[in-house]
Amino acid sequence: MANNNKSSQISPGSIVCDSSVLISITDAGLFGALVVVSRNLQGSLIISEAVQRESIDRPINNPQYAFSAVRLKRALMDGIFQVATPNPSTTQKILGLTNSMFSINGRPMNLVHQGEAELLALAVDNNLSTLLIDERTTRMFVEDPIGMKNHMEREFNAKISVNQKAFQDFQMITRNIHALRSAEVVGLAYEMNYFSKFRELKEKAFESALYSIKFNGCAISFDEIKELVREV
Amino acid sequence: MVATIEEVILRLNKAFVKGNPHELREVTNQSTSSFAIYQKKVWLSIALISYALSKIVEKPRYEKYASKGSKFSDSVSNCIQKAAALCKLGKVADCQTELDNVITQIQTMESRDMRFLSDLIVKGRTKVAATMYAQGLSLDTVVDLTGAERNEVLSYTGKTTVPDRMGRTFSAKDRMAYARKLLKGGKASKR
Repeated sequence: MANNNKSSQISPGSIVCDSSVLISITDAGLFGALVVVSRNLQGSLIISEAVQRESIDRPINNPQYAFSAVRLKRALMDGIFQVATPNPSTTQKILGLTNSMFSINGRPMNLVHQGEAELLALAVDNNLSTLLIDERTTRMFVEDPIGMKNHMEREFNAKISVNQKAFQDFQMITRNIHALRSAEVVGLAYEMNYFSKFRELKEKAFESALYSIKFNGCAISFDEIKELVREV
Repeated sequence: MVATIEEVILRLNKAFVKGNPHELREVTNQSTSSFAIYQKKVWLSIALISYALSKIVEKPRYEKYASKGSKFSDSVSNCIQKAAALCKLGKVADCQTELDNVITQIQTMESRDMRFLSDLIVKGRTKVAATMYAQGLSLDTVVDLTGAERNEVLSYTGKTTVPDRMGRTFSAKDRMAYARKLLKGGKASKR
């Protein structure tokens, strides 16, 4: 069955998925873990048209990235993902808030792009509470924007001022959104015996898989990997 | 005090003429930070040129091009000086044209003896994008601004200590507890 799974029906419990997760988990050779987890979710894995374009349609024509894109396209055709269209007005509102929240030398910092704002808009407009994202900046906007500000002050060695109105409005809009990374997907897959094929090496395989996704772009620290290994 | 574009271009030329890769990398860092804040193309060009020239002056395979008095070296230095002069006159578009000319010269020089599929300018785009991502700009933003490949930026960043420096918020226990609730039945079977 070949279709591109465009649908306006998004079931509750679905997860909005960013291209960063698709890239890190596919490049690490762990796409199977995402498939196993997706089959056990209460809802679907939702991607935006921009994510489809950036993770599948564009790289499939570049020999360096084509194989990962082919695997993702196969998964799309098999119904692993559902493609959804974000509401432009919600997207613009989120973009306006994130890119006016912090200023340096009186100049608002353009930190978030349309693609990431679309993912948040998909979650907000469809009452979805989970964002699957390895990209750090958008996750930090949702989880710890003040931590983000402090980090940028250190990086740019300058004072960053906060637009309190934008800060509060963004907090209000995204208050129900939680972020997960491919690391947690791999953790769930481990609990579903995805690594049992490695028999007595399954624990080592799991830990190695976490390092592999880290080296392919998942924003997770070495300490968090150790903690996750202890947790599952 | 923030350096002007002209000052940074002159610093770039001085470092290249002296064959100082450390100073060229400092110019890359300085112009990358300015690009992250102001998002003007001229800062990206300076960052890419200084990155590429730092590699050219330090790698023996480029010695014949980087050495004082070589055709490549003189031509690049002339263009950079011209760019600085145009910038001083407020002719930013003409300054940009000169910097684009330098980038073309670097790519042409490298294409005569191509060893890697990615040239120095492409690698520079990845490096600049990864630095900006580390500083706090989002992945899509840095990819759009620099023209770098998303996969390369993620891969580059993954091999740095960026996620270890910042990004820790919730514990693994909390994240996994939340993740398990998303499964059918609300809880995954434990191993």
